[in-house]
Amino acid sequence: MKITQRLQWTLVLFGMLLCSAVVAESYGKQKVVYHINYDNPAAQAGAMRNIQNHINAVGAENLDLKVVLHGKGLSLLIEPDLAAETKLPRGNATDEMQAKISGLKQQGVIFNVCANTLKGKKIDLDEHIYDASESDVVPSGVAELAKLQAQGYTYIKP
Amino acid sequence: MNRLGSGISEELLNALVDNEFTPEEQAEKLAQVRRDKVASVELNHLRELKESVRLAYADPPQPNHEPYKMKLLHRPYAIAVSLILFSVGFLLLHNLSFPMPWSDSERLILLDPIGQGDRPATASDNSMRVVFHVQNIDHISPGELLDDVESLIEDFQARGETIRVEVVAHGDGLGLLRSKLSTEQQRISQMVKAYPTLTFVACLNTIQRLKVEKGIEVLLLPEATTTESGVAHVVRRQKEGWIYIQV
Repeated sequence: MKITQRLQWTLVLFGMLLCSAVVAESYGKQKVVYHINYDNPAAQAGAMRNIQNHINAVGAENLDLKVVLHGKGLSLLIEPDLAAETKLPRGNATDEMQAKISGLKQQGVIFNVCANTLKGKKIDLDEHIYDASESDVVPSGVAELAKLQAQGYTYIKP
Repeated sequence: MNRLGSGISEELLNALVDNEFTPEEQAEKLAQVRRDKVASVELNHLRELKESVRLAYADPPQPNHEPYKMKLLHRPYAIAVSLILFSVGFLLLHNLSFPMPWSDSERLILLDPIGQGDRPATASDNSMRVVFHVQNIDHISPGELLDDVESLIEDFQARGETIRVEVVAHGDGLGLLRSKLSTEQQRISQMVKAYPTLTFVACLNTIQRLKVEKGIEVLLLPEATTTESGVAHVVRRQKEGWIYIQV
C-alpha cells in the first residue's frame, strides 16, 4: 500500500472517530429523576420504555437516572402473587417486567423505594420487593423528589 | 380555511382565546366548542400556546422612538445632574444600613400574582419552594395526597428548615377544593392553620368551564385561593425556581 493511500485511510478513520464522539456528546451529561406513584401496568410498562429510549438517545455513560417509587408506584417491584400479603391492591412485577427492570439496572438506573410506603402498606423489603437492598430505600419519596430537583435533577413524570 | 370536524373554524377558536366576543357570545361559543372533542382539545392547545408565548415575552422589547435631541445649552446641566444621581445611587448601594424600599419578604409578595396579602411569604430566599400539580387523582386518594404534602413539610420543619408549598388544583383535581365534593375539608382547614407557608390554589378556567358546560356554580373551600390558569401558574412557578411535583 502506498503511503498516501495509508494516510488517506488514517484520515478517514480519524474522521469517523471524531463523528462518533460528536454524536455521543450531543446531549451532554444529564441528571434525571422519573416519578412513579401509580399502579396502572400499561402506564408503568410505558414508563420503562421511555427510560430505555432515554438511555438509547443519551447513552448510559452520560446519564445519572433515578426512578423514585412511592405509594401505588411500588407495585412495579412487587410480584403479582405477593401483593395480597401487602396492603397494595396489585403487583406488576411479572417475569417480563422483572427482565426489563434488570436490564435497566445493568445500564445504571437506580430504583428508589419510599420507606413511608413500605411501612404504611405493610411491605417487607426482603420478602416482597424484587431485587432491592437497604441502599435503595429513601425515607420519603416526595422529599427525595424535592431533594434531587434541588440538586439539579430534571423531573419527569411519564 | 382550515376547518375542524363539526364546522368550527380555527378563526372561531382563535377569537375565543383572544376574548373577542361579548361575555354572552363567549359563553355560547365556548359551550359549542366544548361539545366537540377535537375542537375542545385544539382550544386548550391554543390557550396553552398563548400562555407560553405570553410568559416567554414577559418583558417585550419597547418600540424605538425618535431619538431625543438635546439642546447644546442643556448638556452641561444634564451631565452634572447625572453625576450627582450616580454618586447618590453609589452611596445608597454601599451603605446597606440605609433601609431599602422593600424587604425580601415583601418582594416575594410582589412576585406572587394570587391574592395572598393575608398569607405573606414568610419563607426566606434560601428556603425550599415546592408546587404540587393536581390534575387527576385517580391513582391517589385525596387523603394520601395530603399525607404526602404534610410529611414533606414535617420533614423540613424537623430539620429546622422552612418550606413553602402550593397545591394547585385544576381539571378533575379541582374536586379537592370544592366544598360540595371535597372529603378533606376539615383536614385542609387544619393544615392551613398549622402550616402558615402552605397554600391551596384553584384554577378559575376550570371553574368557568364547569359553569358553561354543566351549569355548575362551583363553591370553593374558604381556604382556597385562586389563579386564572392552573397550567400557567405551575409553569410560572417553575420559571421562578420552584420545585415541581405532579401528583
